[in-house]
Amino acid sequence: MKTGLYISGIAHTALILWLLFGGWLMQSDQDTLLQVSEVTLMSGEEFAALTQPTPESVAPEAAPAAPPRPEPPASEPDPAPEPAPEPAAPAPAPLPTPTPAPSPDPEVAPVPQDAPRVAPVAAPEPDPQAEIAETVTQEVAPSQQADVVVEEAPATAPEAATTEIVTEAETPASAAPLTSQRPRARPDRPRPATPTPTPTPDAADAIADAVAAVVADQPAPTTARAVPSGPPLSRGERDGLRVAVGNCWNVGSLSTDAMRTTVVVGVSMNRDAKPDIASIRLLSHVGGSDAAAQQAYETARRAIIRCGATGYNLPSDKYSQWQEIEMTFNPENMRIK
Amino acid sequence: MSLLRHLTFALALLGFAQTATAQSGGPLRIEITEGVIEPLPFAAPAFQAENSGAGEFARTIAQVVAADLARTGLFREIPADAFISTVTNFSSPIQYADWKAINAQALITGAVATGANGKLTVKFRVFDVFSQGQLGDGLQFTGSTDSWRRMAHKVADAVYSRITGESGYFDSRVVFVSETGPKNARRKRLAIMDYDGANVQYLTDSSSLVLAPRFSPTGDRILYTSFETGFPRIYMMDVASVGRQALDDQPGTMTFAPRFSPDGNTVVFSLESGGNTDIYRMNVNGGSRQRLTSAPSIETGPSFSPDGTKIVFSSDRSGTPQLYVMPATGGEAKRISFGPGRYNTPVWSPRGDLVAFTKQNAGRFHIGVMRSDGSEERLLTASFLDEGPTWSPNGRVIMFTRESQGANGAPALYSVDISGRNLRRVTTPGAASDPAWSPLQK
Repeated sequence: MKTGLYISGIAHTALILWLLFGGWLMQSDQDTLLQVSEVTLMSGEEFAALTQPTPESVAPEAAPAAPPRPEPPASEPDPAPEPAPEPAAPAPAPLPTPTPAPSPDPEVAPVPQDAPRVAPVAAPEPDPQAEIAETVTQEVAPSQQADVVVEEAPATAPEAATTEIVTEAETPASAAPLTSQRPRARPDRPRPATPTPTPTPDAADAIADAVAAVVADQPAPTTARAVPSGPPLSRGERDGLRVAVGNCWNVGSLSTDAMRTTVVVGVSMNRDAKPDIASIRLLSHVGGSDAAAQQAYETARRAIIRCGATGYNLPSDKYSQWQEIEMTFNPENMRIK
Repeated sequence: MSLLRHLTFALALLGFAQTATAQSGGPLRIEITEGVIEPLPFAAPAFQAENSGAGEFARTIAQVVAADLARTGLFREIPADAFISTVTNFSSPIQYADWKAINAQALITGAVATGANGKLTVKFRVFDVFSQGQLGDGLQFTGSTDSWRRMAHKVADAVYSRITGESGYFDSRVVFVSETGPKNARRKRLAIMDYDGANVQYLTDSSSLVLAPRFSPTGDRILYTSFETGFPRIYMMDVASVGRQALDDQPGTMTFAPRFSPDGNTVVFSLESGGNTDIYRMNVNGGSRQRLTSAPSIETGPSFSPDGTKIVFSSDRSGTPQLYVMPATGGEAKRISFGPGRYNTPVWSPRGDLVAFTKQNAGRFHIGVMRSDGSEERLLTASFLDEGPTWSPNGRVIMFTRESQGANGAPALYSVDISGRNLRRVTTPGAASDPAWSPLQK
């Protein structure tokens, strides 16, 4: 009787144990493929907000990454030879052969510069053969005379670095030519024969009167002086002279009548840019009386001499341009009104 | 068509002519429009004493000359301890390099000698250091030793004239009202002095109130207003003898604000009668007065133009005191002041181009100038109380009264350049008001 009870008990116990532990014993490999990840719950409004298109005006939170630095071209292609100009007919008269302007040195042709590396301590440009390393290692090469055999090692050097970034705008070196050849003066053109128009009498008189009037307005040519040649003074050079003389033109002690007088003063300059004092003369005046003009002239003369005592800052190669100067002293802006 | 062709040809020819001129290689031409305004530095070493009695005069005359020039604000004296070289002889050549080195642009040298009977001789030269030349010829003055200051002023006038181109004003005098006592019981009397405050002399005692003295064109007579009868009355005084006489002594009237005509023969003044004030003129040698204005308002402060053809005066006919110009013989007046405030005490410049005035506006007093047509008004000063302008003989400087504020406030004389610069107090023995500048002394 009890045998069946034992058999039943053992069978039930085995069944319970199998239910408890049999799944672990019978677990398949596919169960290990399951992955568990954390998720975040969100509301429907948040989801709708995420799906809305992003306004374009919103600035990005982070600056975009710098574009990749362009690599310098390996070699610039040789320019193709220009086609020879076809001879035109009729052939023009030969002009003076212009000397070609100096071309920029091809070795200093602008090439994209590597951005300098900034480090607390500046490091010189490493040897191109050296490898970049944190420590400097002298190149070791086999020596014929050495008794001790040293293991060969490549040279290393730290990467080139500087303490500050110098932009291209601050880089003084330029590929532009520093000098240029002065253009040649134009050749004299053949003077045309003086026209001898034969206008009608009335028109001729009117034209002659008009021409005479214009010519009469022109200043009389200065005699006994060299005709200026070469390039004229630049605006900066003229302004420099104007400011230099103005700094010594003290009108504080001028009479009110003299302050209404504009004087034109002529002066001959020496090659050392100092005025020839004896040459200073009053050419003309406008506004005040003769006595006032004399006072205004004396003040102007004093200004020319004072600030020219050490020589004006004038280019010596343009001496012919400033050998003779006419200075107009106009106190209009400084007059009490 | 022919005319058109010729016209085209003419225009082309004109263009060619102008181009040819522009390229003809004339002198370099520049225009200077900006300079500097600063005092001109000058050196005035002590004058040379040509005899033993002239040593003190030589030193003090040079000092007065230098002070005159520096007081204008147009010149700056270089101190003697900066000199590199000295002038040991009036006729010795000038070491220009030494004076250039200290930036002396003008150099004044002189010599003084005393002679018999108290005679004093002063001679001088002016040099333009940077031009290395003499400015004009040397001059020499002779006078008594008592008038050494006048001689120094004359030297300064000549130097000023040679450098600036306009006449000086140093050999001139100023008559003013000297005031003493507390503010509510001032005693006033007429005084006269050199323009720089030296040689003060009193012309009246302080027994009666006096106001507004005015010099004659020759400087030998003075018009002023006195209250010695209890009412304002005009008197004319001879400066040399201090003798005086009343003008237009008519009972029941009050006369004040007198001023001479440019020829010195006529006086214009204000007369109050029956509660109305108008402007009259009369001959200084007597005769009947001529009424120039006839209005129910107050017309006062007349001043002749230098040519004697016009009179500027103040009137409140528009409601507030404004400036008007009328013919010297009377007639229609033209208003010339239109700014805000009250305009009074107009004075025509000796040059004739400007009118100086006192302006009261927004609780402040100003001395100003405007052109005689009323344009280009400029205010030169501003203070608690500025009034009573008077012109220097050359029309370059204005002297006026400035009274300080408060119970202890007192009037004083000030001068200012017509540019508005160089405001200076004029030295007086005490409180002073109502200045009037004399013409240059002969």
